[in-house]
Amino acid sequence: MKKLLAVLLTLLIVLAGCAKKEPAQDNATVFKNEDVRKAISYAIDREALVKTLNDGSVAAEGIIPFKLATNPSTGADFRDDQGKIVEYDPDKAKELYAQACEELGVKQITIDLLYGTNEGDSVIKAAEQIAYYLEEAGYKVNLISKQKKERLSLMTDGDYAVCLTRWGPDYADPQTYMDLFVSTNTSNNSGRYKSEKYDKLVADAEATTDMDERWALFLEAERVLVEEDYADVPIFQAGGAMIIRPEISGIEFHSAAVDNYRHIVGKDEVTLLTNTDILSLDNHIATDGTSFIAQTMYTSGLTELDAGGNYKLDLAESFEMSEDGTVYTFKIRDDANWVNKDGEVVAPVTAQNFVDAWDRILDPDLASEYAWWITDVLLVDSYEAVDEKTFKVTLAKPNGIFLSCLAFPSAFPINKEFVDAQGDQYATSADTVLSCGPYILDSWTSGYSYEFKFNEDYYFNEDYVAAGGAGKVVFRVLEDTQTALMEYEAGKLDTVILSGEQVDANKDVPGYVDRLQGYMFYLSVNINHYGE
Amino acid sequence: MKKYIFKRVLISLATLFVILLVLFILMDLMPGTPFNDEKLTEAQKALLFAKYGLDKPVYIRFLLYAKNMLKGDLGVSYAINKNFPVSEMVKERLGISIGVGAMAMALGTVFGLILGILAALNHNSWIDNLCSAISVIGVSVPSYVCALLLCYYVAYRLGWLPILYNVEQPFISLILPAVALSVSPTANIARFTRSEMIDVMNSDYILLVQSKGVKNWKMIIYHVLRNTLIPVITVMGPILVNLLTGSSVIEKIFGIPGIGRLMITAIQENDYNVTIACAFVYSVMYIVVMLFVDILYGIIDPRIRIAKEEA
Repeated sequence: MKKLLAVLLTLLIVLAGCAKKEPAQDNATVFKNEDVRKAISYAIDREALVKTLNDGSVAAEGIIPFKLATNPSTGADFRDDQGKIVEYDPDKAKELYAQACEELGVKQITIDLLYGTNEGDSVIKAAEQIAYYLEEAGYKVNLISKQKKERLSLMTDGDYAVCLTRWGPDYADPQTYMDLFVSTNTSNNSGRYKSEKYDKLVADAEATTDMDERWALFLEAERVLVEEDYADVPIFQAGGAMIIRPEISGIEFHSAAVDNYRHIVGKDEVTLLTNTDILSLDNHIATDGTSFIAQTMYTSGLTELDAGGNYKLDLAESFEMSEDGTVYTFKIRDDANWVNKDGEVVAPVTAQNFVDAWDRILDPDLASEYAWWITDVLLVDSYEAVDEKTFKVTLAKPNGIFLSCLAFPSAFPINKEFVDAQGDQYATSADTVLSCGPYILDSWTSGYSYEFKFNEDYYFNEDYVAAGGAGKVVFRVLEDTQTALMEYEAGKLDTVILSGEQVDANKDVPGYVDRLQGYMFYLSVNINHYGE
Repeated sequence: MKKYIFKRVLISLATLFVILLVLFILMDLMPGTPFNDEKLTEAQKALLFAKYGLDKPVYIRFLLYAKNMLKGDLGVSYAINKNFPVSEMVKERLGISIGVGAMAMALGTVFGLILGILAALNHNSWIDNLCSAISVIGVSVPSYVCALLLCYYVAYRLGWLPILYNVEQPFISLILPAVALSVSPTANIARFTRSEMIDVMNSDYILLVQSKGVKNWKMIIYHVLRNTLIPVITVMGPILVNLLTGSSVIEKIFGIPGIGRLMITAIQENDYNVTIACAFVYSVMYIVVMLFVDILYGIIDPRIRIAKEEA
């Protein structure tokens, strides 16, 4: 009898629960409503949010980050030309929210805010702040935290409403961001934002050979995306507080390219902190900044970037450009060589090395994730080795960023004989790579450290030694910021990355740097991507 | 005895097979893939899936994996060290983790037994209270707190030992992590030893030994300790596996390239082969240690051996 009563009671409770439950919100219609998205953008106090993050991050003024790209004629930053196109206005947000509710005929709008739990403290803090501001405007917010890989998989499948996501620029041009939101880009345009106007602006910008016109079209495209359609909501540009030992200098940070550690001076042996390990030593397989930085230490390309982010010649001694800007002929340095781990010269660097490298990265069997660097960024149409030291490249159309993008490891040469001889073992250890850069990879212990020693054969190294260049550069893999700081203070590390309270405590320490990174964090709103 | 061991080994092998199967199925159900990356297009993802054979149904992949595994091939890493053989990754790191773990276990056993025996012999005195207090603190303070305290005072302030792990001085630089890791096993072993020993000392057969006039130290070593050790060994088995398979937190703090960190990273990166390999290594160690404990039982306590053989 008691059991029966219990069963009945449970049934009753379940039934009552079902009856009371309101019908689920139809996200497919809610986020198509422009006022819903507009209210989100107006609700968020980005200045206050970055103050909470307190790590050198800056409030977004548009989807294009600061210091990404400069006007081809005036040299002005994209952000200065565009100005601020996002605004914080809590009253307006409330007004828009009320309006949206009325238009949709609902009492309340719920936002499921997706974010990554293993993408750094700042992401978690930012998500909580965003939730707070959205609730201030009237929204009900459910925070949904997932591991990064799962978050990305949910976005790919369109199984989300609003997601705090980020994009790291691949090169110093607005195109790296603008391409994300065109309707044909089903890989990155997770919310399936669809605007003929925007698509046309971006397509026109990429087709034109007039650099000023291109610039103007991208300015207009960003305005349409952010200020007219409120398709994606920019939040903040990532910072990174760190300390660099004051006696060393020459580390060059690039927000939209690989950081340059090739010219460190001031100390003979330098130990640098890295949060993550090398993913791959193979420049056609690697996809992450850490691996690319390591590769630029011991291999070189035709050009490299200077401190200001402009190209300078590296393995190329000189080049000629055709009048229409589509054919480049590079002369490779006579003294450029491949050296082995012991510093012995194995072979000269030839034009054929570049041909082999580009053939390899474009080979579908290799499934290289950066094959598009050659075709879509460098805009290469064809290439050939004219003679041993002459490399000729023909572009599909003139490309203002061609020379600076050659400084990226995906465009670096390989020594095919060596690669073939190593087979499966190629680029799995310091013994199975060759060097053609200013340093030689001396050792790599997975999860622990990788070390570089000076390449005596490299052309600029005589001057570099005279200037007090580092003879040995060690990257120590370490995730814990507390022991890292102790190790820095004990003099055993020369750089340290700060997090949380460490930032405030060390703001006045000599060598403290607030470095602005290229990553833009924004809210991706799922407008049209449901039930596909 | 031989039959008993043979049976136990067979059961262990069957268990391992089931574990591998379950691991494989769980991996398949895990959300996301190793290739969820902002920079990859759908076509590239499909290409990568085909390249690594991940487009095949799960049972075919399982059979292939099991076949390769018997040859010692654990596949390659998809995300952590791309295309790197997993067997090498695991081998390199397991050695270091076992090193720290063994050091911590040795410390924990020695100090745990000393504390426990001291407490039991001086039951209800101030020594007992002190030992119990140390045990309670040891159990309740997490190892990473001890690690940070040791780092700060012993390494940073006094400079006696290095803060971080150093490949060139593995022993010296692993002392602090081993001490930090040994705090909890010390406390656990001390508590068990104390309570077991008090039980044994109050038993009838010890009264008999005493009445026969056996010398005190002889009685403790031959009669009390031997009977005390049986339950203690039971708890030591799992503690040992925990220590040997690495602690991701301790490894992170001291910058040790151990297997604990590798497994956590592999799970976060959805690096299937590395995750399966690490989890499987854990299972193997657990089962081997438990098997060993079972056999050791039989040696220490003939009653268990006889009971099991009869059954």
